[in-house]
Formats: sequence, structure tokens, C-alpha cells
Amino acid sequence: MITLILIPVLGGIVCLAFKNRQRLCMTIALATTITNGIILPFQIFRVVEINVGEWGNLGIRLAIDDFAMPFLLSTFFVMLAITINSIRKQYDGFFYSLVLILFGTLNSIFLSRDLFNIFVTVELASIISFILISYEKKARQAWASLKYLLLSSLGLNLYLLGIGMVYMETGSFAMEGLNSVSTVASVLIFGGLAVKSGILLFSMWLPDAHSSAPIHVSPILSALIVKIDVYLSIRFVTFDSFLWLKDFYISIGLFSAIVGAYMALNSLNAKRLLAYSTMSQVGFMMVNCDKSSSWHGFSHAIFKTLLFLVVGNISYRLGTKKYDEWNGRLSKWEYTFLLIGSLAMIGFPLTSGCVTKEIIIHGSCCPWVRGGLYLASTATAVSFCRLIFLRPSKESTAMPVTHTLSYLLLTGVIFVHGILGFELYELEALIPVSVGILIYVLTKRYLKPLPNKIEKLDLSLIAYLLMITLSLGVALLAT
Amino acid sequence: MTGSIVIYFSIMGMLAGTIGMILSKNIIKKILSLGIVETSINMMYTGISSRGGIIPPIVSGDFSLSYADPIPQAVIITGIVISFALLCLSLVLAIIIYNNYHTMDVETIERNFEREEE
Amino acid sequence: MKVLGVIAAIAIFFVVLVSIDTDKSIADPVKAIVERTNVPNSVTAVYLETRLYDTVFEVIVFSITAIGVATLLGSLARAPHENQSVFHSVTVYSGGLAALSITLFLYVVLNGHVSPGGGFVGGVVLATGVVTYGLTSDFKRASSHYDRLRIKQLESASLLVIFALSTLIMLFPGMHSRLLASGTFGSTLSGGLIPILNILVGIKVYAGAWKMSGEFISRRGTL
Repeated sequence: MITLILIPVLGGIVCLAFKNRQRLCMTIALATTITNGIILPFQIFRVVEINVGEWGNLGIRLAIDDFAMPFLLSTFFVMLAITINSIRKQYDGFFYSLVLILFGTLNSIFLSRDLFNIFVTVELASIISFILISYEKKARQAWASLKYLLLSSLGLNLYLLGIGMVYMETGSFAMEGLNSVSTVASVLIFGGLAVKSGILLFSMWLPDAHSSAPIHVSPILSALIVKIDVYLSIRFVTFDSFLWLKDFYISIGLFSAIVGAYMALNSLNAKRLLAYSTMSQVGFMMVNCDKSSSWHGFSHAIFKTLLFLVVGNISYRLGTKKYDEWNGRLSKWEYTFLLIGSLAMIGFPLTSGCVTKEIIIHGSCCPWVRGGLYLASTATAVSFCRLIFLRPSKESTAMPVTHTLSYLLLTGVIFVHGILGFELYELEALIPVSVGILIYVLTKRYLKPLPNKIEKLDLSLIAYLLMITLSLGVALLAT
Repeated sequence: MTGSIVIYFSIMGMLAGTIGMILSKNIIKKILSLGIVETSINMMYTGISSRGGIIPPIVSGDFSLSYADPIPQAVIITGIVISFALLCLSLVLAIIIYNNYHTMDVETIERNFEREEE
Repeated sequence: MKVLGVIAAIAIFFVVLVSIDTDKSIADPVKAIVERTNVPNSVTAVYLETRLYDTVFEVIVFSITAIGVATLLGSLARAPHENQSVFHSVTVYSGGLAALSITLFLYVVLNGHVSPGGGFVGGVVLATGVVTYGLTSDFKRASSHYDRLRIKQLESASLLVIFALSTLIMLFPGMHSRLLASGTFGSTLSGGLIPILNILVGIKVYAGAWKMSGEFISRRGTL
């Protein structure tokens, strides 16, 4: 099990030593990712626990079980698709080294059961993403990266304060100590990690960072790094000190799902639309924190990667990010893959998005939650109709082979998951879809971008601190 | 006794750093306030490790003295290295922004971005 | 609007201050750690043996940040360095400081498992001495040692060796226990693979810190 972590990190370190030879680094990246994929089926279908170095309670423990399995699978597919797609763009060796080390670090986060180890690996993933966001050295990317750095560091320092309180009360950093810890420590641990999730008022750095990043970096951010906090929340909710969190998540998850979809409706920039819809889908995942959330995390990663890669390549070829100007200039193949990704996002039957969304909606606890989730699905359908109803051009240009290969890989996973999990009650997903198309056709002219003053640095910091105060109040009132 | 005082002072240090991050208008001052927050956390962990005693845990055969706790001290070495790396990276990003806009004021920079967006 | 943020921060930290309980007593782990690893300095034993997994990730953080800083600043213009005006006494003293820091680095790193010290402290000591010399006296001469001693290749090689040795220690703990038990308690030659790891970590920290400081100085100018 520890080879899942060591092989990508070893590949990354070798690429770091040879970072001037570009083709060698590209081959090492492809070979390492495929090797990891070959080992993966033998490791993830069992429940195993090891103590690193056999030190017991003083050391670090790693374990795998079925909450972590969908995340490990999605990491592999996303990294393979990005590596194949970036062959044409000729990045230098340092980019591949960063991507491989990030792959190993994400595997380590999903396998570890020690609180301080989670801090070190989450900081390593954050530093890699800060460098990757500003990789093309433009001022806009540097500002988005600096905003993300300041908020994320403040949050992780609050997390470290919470872990210090856990150590003072139990004497070790193992995750089992969370059963007997005070409420204030659990609020600090939750609040510190909530900065990196995509929940609405906690992380307002997200739309700028995900939309200004380079083409192959946005899928990594939106599909993998956001899922770190989703996985850790699912893991923490099973301990005794975090019982107040399950009810709190229902409220803020629903709020994030509805308002995020409404903000996505109104944006003119294609990458911003995708970034707001990430916030909305994370709200979906948080509403019931159990196995259905991890499978929705898997399918969301796959179709969000497909959408970001297609949109990124189109905007690079045509030179603009506003999707109104793409009318009549897309080629047929690009339009096909854009259509498949959007249909998976809005939950059309036979795709993987429909399977996982319907499991969440049917597993929710109360009727008003179900109504709210239907409302959010309708709003998502309206916003993605903007991409579905673009017109492709009449002439046909060929797409490069590497692009086609990566898109076909992701499309295959979407349809296989959709067909394997098909149940008959999923045909009711056609109702939000058709209502959404109707609303889009009626209100096409009345939509304009909402003001985004809350994404400035000072206001997002103040919003984050206010939300932590709110959760402190909710937690202290619940006990 | 000394450990408790150190822990209380470190929490006040974190409060000062957070207020500094909210109220400053200059990017470099925000980065320095973040440095204050991180140094206070390091101080708190050193205070936690003084609960067992205040003799440094370098043993020369006698196990009956009341040594300090080695685990938080060793663990916060990692934290110090990470905060140094974050400080360097944030200064590099500040240099890139300064070279483009020749100002360190947060509101001027964001107004420039709004003008470019339209 | 900012007043709300200040009130929220004061509320959070006030609640934390009131509810912290600092007087619980815990078991003493020093005896268990020192008896199993046979090394007097228990702090070095913790971060190089018990929690070796975290130390590997931390070394990776440091190397990636050093190369990342060099990559992101790579395209900016360099500042001219011709007339670095200097007082002669400052040159003499900083040269002596740099030479002294080399000796102190070797002592602290090699004796890291017997007396207070270790790889991280040693690396910072050496970097302080050399960067002070470069900043105040002669930056060109200080930065020429980087190419002459081939520190770049040494740094990449040391990262690979740290990773390989740590993997061996983590996957085969029995072998390392035998190595550790075979030395005498308290001498410099005991401690298994721990002194070797200390030396490599010290070289890595020095090279990374020099690279970061050197990039900043060469872009923005000396004093």
C-alpha cells in the first residue's frame, strides 16, 4: 500500500534532477502514471492497516477502506488524462515533476490516519498548487495565487491550533483521539480545513484562482484539491466530537448548492461558470456526509476535468474566454465532447452524474432538503444550457490525437459508470433538465453578471472569520 | 506553570496577527502579520512540550529526571520549515505583482484588475 | 465592514483562551524512545526515526520551494553589482564569520544525535554565515562557489539518497533496529543511519536557503 505513494514521488524526484531534458521528463511522467494504474486494482479492494516503522501510538498509521477508494481512483484517471493532454504544449521538466509529486501527496492524504501528517501533506499540496497557478508569471495569476496563499495559510494555522489542543488532551496525534476532544478544538479543526473546500462563504478565493490558472492546472485544482476537504469531512464526521457537524453541513451545503448555481447562471466567462459550479457541486456532496458523497466526488472529478480541458483548449485556440463569441467557430469534435460533459453535469440519465446525484437526493433526510436539491439541479441545468446551445461551425477541422485520446478516456469512464449504476428511478432526473431548458429559453436575454465584491482579499477574509464565529456559536449551542 | 503562561501569550499573539492581516493596506504588512501568526503557533507548541518538565530531553543514563516532552518540539521543526517556505513564495509573488503595477496598495491593484476585466 | 472582522477574530480567540485546559498530565515517552533507538538526543530520534515519514515530505517541501522560487524569478532582470561599497572592517569580520560558521556546521551536524543540534540547525548556521558575507562584502565571490563546488548536482543527489535511505528504514524496520543497537550509547559513531541522514539534510537545507537568498539578492541588489 505504501508503494502507491512512493512510486509517483520517486518519479517526481528523478524528474527534478533532470529538469532540463524535456522529453525524458515527459516519458517518466507517463510511465510512472501507468505503473501506478497497474498496481492500483490490487491494493484498493481490501481493508488494510499498517504502522509505519512499528512504533504504535507514538508513530504514524496508514489505512485504506472504502471511503478512500473512489478518491484514489479519480486521482489516477485525472492525472493520466492531464499528462496525455499536455504532451502537445511542451511544458518544461519542472511542471511534470510538480504534477507527479502532487499525485503521490494526494495518495498519501487519502491513506493517512495521523493528524499532523495530514497537516504536512496538505501544506505540500498547497505549495505545489501556488506554484502551478502562477506558472505562466502573469500578474493576474500571481494575484489569485497570493489571495489563495494568505487565506489558506491562516486557515491551516487555525487547524494547527486545534491539533495542539487535541495533543494536550490525549497525548498523541492519532485520529482516534478525536473521540474525546472538546467542542472548541473540533470547531477549529473543521474551520481550518474548510478554507480549502469549495463551500460558499468560506472560500471566496476559488472563482479567481480556478479561472485564471493555466489550461492544465485548473482541472487539477477543481477536481482533486477541493476533494481533500470533502474526504477529511467524511472521515471526521464518524467521530464522537463532531456530531454537531452533520446538521450544520446540511444547512451550509444546501445554501452553497443553491447560491453557487445561481451565481454560475449569470457569468459570461466560461471558466468562471465552471468554477462557480464547482462550489455548487461541493454543496451537493456535503449535504449527507457518507459513502454517496465520495462516489459523487469521483464522478464530479471526471466530468469536471473533461469540461475544463475542452474549454481551456477552445479558449486557447480562439483567444477568448467569453463563450458568446464562440458561436459558429467550434469544430464538431469539440462540440461533441462539450455536450457530453455538460450532459453529465446536469444529470442526464445514462451518465455517471445522474447515478451519483440521484443517490444523494434519495438518501437525504427531509423533504425540504430534497426540494432544495431539486432547485439547485434546475439552476445547474439552466447555466449549462448556455454551453449546450452553442452552434458548431460547418467546416470540420481535425483535433490532435493526444487531445482525442484523453477526452475518449474520460468519456469512457463517464458512460461505463452511468450504465453500470443505472436504476429505473433515475428517469425522474429528466424533470429538472426539461424545466431548466424551458427557463433558459424564456430568460435568455435577461441575465447579466453579478457583482463580485466579496471576492476581494479583505472581504473574503472577513467572511471567513464570520463563518467560523457562526460555526463556533452553532457548536456551543448544540452541546 | 511557565507552560501555561507561554500558551496564553501565544494565543494573544495569534489574535494580534489576525487583526493585522485584516486592517493593513499594504501587501508586505499582510505577509508580515501572517509571519506573526505562524511564530505564535511555534511558541505554543514549545509551551505544550514543557508540561512534563523543563530539562532538555538529552538523556545521559539517568531516566528519573523530569524531562520535557520531545514529540511536539520535533514536530514543530517541520512547521518552522514550512512557514519559511511560504514566506519566500509569498514575497516572490509580491515582486511579480509590483513589477507590473508599481504599487503595493491592495485597493489600487484590485481596481486595476476590474478595469482590465471590462 | 472591517470592524465586523475584528470583532469576529476577538470572539474566536477569546473563546479559545477560556476553554483551554493546560494542566493535564500525560505519560512520559522519553524512556521508550531512548531505549528503543539507543541514541541520547530524543528529539533527533523522534524526527528521524519515529516520524521519518513527515521529515521526508518536509525535505521535499523545501526543495520544491527553492526550485520554484528560482523558476518564478527566472525571467526578471538582474541588478548591476559593480560598486558594492563596503567598509573594510566589515569585510574582515564577515569573512571570519563565514569561516567560523563552516566549522560550527560540521560540529553541529555530525554530533546531532548526541548533543542538541541536527541537520536543520546546521544548515541554517552555515547559510547565515555565507549569506552575510555575500550581502555585505563580495557577492560575486560568494556566488562563484556555487558553481565551483557543483552544489546543484550535490543537492539533487542528496535528495535522492535521503529518499532511498528513508524508504529502506521505513520498509525494513528490523534491519535498522539491529544497526542502532550495535553502537555504544553516547559516542559519535553510534546511531545507525541517523548521522548520515543528518549530514544530507544539512547539505540540503544549506543549498536551498542559499539559492533562495541568492535569487532575491541578485534581482534586487545588495545593501
